[in-house]
Amino acid sequence: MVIRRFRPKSGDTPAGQFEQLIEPHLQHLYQLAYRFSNNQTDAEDLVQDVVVKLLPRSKEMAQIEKLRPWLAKVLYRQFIDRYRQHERSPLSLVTEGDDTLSQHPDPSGETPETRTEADLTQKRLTMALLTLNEDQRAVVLLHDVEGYTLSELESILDSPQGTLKSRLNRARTQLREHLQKSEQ
Amino acid sequence: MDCKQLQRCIDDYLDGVLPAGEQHLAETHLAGCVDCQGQLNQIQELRHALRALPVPPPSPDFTRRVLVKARQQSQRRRQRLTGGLATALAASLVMWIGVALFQPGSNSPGIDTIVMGISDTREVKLVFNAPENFQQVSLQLELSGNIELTGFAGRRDIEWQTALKKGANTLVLPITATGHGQAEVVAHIKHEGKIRTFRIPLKVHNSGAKLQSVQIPVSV
Repeated sequence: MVIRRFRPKSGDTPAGQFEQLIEPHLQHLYQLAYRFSNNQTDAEDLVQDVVVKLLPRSKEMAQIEKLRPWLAKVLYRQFIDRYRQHERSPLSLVTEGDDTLSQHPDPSGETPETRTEADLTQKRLTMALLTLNEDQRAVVLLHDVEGYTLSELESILDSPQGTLKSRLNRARTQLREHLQKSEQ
Repeated sequence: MDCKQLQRCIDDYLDGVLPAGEQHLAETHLAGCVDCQGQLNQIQELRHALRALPVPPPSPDFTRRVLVKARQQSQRRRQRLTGGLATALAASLVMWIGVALFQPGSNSPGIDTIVMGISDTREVKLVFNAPENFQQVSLQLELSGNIELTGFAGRRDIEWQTALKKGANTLVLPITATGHGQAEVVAHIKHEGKIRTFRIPLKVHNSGAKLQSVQIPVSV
């Protein structure tokens, strides 16, 4: 016996709507996550965390004009949270063979002696990137590597353009110095 | 544009986001300044090398796996919340029964006494805020004192099955006062062995009052 019919509040977001929004950006998010983490497994986990986190926010996402920089910001925040959590953790889980620089075995089987100059430069550059601090690395990876404009980075990294420009300059100088030293 | 000015906008120049006028000034300066041109080349070379850094493809079926896993985790999270709610309901029940046992005659916390006049009718709205859809919920109303549920004269106990949707669900109770004194409406919500009870205290005066509406929000 129903005294009065209930008036349910609608508003459940179908998962399909979320998937339509996020799917076109997943490969890019993975690429970005890889740039930050330098590790395929970590990059996939990072993207997974972001997607789980965003699933209840599809309505908000649907209102965002430029979704890609917004997603980059969420991903970067998630990366920083993970990074800081890892830094705070007294113990860290190390997977066997989990070495940043030996992640990708050379399919050609070339030895260091026969490796091309381009490969060596990539190795040196990867090492050089690791010498940058967290803020410098973020601005270099997002701007110089992934091509976000400084205007977009203002929002992604929550820093004014002036700060970003000087951070970028210092980072580039440091990268060049490191490359020059490693070539000697 | 001089060297200092170019330094400030060199990234915007490379990003192609300089306004047309400034772009032209930068190009003119670069054409005549070996130092600035050299610096521009250095930045471009570094960018080129950085962009050439390889990214291995994700593991096979990455996109589908991410989306499926997200859906599964989201469902598990919702189930945990529902489980948490059930625990909270149980804990809450102890509190509400505790109040009834140890403080006989006390009002339910959070719900003020509704004052009515004899022969008045008031609409009491119970708004259940449900965190999830509940398919089958049992609702039971118990009336005591000199009140009646309009349309159900003489009935002291009414029970029925219904569903609660996520969000606000409003139950409108038109209550008529038939005599003076204390009265009470007790609403029980039962779901999968859990029960939540709300007590709505009423007081009926001899003097008349106008038809009024009272809204009581509660969380399920």
